[in-house]
Amino acid sequence: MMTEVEQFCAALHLTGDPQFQLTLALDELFTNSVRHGGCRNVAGAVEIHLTASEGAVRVEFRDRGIPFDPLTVPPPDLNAPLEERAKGGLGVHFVRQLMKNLQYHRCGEWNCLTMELPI
Amino acid sequence: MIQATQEVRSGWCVVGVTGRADGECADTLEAILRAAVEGNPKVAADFSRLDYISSAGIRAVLQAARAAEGSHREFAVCSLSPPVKKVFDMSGLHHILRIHGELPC
Repeated sequence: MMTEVEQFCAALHLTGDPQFQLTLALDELFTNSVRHGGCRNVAGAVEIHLTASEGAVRVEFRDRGIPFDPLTVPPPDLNAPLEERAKGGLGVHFVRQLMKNLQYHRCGEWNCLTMELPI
Repeated sequence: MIQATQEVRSGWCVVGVTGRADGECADTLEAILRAAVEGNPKVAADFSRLDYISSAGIRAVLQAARAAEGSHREFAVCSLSPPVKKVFDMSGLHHILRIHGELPC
């Protein structure tokens, strides 16, 4: 997957921060789908559509995992002391920091998250 | 893919980490850092050759830091590359971890 993201970025001459932001956001979402969404070892369980438009990359991330709206995850308490830092929720927090205009829909058996990366 | 070197300098065990700390490699990173913490009173993780880190890698560092705190060892994270520093900043770990621009030794 990351090779294809790299190719997409190269075709758009996206480097530096935008490439890093897109890579990290997709890595976090994919890892969540595999580790927590029930998509491990399920062929075709994740689809990623990237569309370049003026000033932004539009991202559609779909998975056929258990229904899960990442936008309902409360933000982690970043100021909690070390021993109290929860283990989860950081990946979704990153996605919300990195991407704009996030929207979630459940479409049949698919979780569908759309978002934009300003470029 | 993640690799590590280890050497003792001026009382610090310096763990040099190379590669990508993503979901695939996070368990390896945690094992490397925890082993260093268990075997040394002062550990500095040198991340100058760490190209990438995701939340899974951040959690590995967090677990090592908790292990160090629990056993009263010193644990410092050093020499973050700009993209890795950005992820640490987003994680808030810079509030609770010792993060150095350069190695302490």
